[in-house]
Amino acid sequence: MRLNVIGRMARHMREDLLLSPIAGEERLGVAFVRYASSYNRSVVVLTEYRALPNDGYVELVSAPVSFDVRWFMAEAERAASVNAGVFLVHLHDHYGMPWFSPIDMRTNREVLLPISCVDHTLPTGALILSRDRGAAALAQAGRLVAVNVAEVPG
Amino acid sequence: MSDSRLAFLGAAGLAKIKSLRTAVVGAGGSGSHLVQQLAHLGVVSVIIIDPDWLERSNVNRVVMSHYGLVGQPKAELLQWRLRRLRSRLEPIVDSVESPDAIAALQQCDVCFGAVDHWGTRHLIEYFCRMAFVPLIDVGMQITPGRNADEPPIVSAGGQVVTSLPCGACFWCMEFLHDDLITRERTEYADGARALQQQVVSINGLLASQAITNMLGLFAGFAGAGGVTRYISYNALDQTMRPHPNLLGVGLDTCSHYRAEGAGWAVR
Repeated sequence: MRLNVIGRMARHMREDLLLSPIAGEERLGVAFVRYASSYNRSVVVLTEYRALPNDGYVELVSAPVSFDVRWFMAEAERAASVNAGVFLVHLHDHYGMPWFSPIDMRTNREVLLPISCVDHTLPTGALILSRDRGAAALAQAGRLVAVNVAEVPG
Repeated sequence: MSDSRLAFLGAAGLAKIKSLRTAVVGAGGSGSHLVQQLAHLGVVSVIIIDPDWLERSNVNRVVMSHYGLVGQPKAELLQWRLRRLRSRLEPIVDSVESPDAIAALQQCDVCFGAVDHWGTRHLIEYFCRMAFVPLIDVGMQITPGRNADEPPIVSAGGQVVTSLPCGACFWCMEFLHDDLITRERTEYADGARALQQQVVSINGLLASQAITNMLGLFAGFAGAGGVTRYISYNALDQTMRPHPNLLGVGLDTCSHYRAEGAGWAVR
């Protein structure tokens, strides 16, 4: 699996996600994604990015997520209206290949996997960026599949 | 690995080039040069898409072909001839519109177009834009004189056009326009489509420029100005320069293919 992200979109996401944290939490965003074509379910493209608004962050220690899931659901619905799926996006502030933390994986399992069951024809997953690389996971058939992130010239 | 290659591309640039998955649509005069150079550069894979078989009339311009290979699929003969290099060569003996070809080229890091038809160029760019795959198109045209009053060759040359995702497309740069496609369609319908004249030297020159554009994009030596998106070659005065159509074109935007519209939006 491969996720293609245009270079300038990746720079925009990094600039946004590197802004100072809200309530001590990592900044988040949502990306709209689509499969490349009906012939190709192994390539997804990132078509839009939207930052989580400042009032969308929550401070609940026991919660699996640090954001208001209603916002994410609303974005997923908006994406579905244009036949796109959603990836939850955040950034770990280092260089080199990033990886999902145990907390991230809990969010992926408890939030993204259920959402992916609503419409399996739309890609649902998570994208994590570092300052120069990216990695992603796609929810597929009830499990998370690793996705290579390619930043393409443009 | 030779030191000269390392010095030119740098260690990081060379590693990036070697990791590239590439596709070449068209295994004829230009495409055969492209496949050869990609294999010599050592990219990880080259997908060669061409539905045609080698004809005797092709041998004068399809590099690495010979008369003993007439009747072989062009894509397969290139794979056979370059099999001892390290790149994985994968022929697809089918149209670029076939599901296998579309799926394959959309998994690439960069695609090269080396086809004769304007309509096919349009399709290749569309498939590439859907998947955010950079496309570098190579084409040549020779216009012979039509009568004794004209010189034997009125014009000869070609172009290398680079279409980056969400940047100026073939239509923005007016490399493609409706008249071209309509005229081509009419010529086919009337049976009046003339065979494109080709010559191995110009094919090779344009293909080399296209490969250099790829190196500029991925190994980053193109400088602050980046890769020139539309390069025009005039064989009569032996010049290669930015095409005048680039003047006034916003290279970072495209009104024909927007990022929000990429991918498979129809269910």
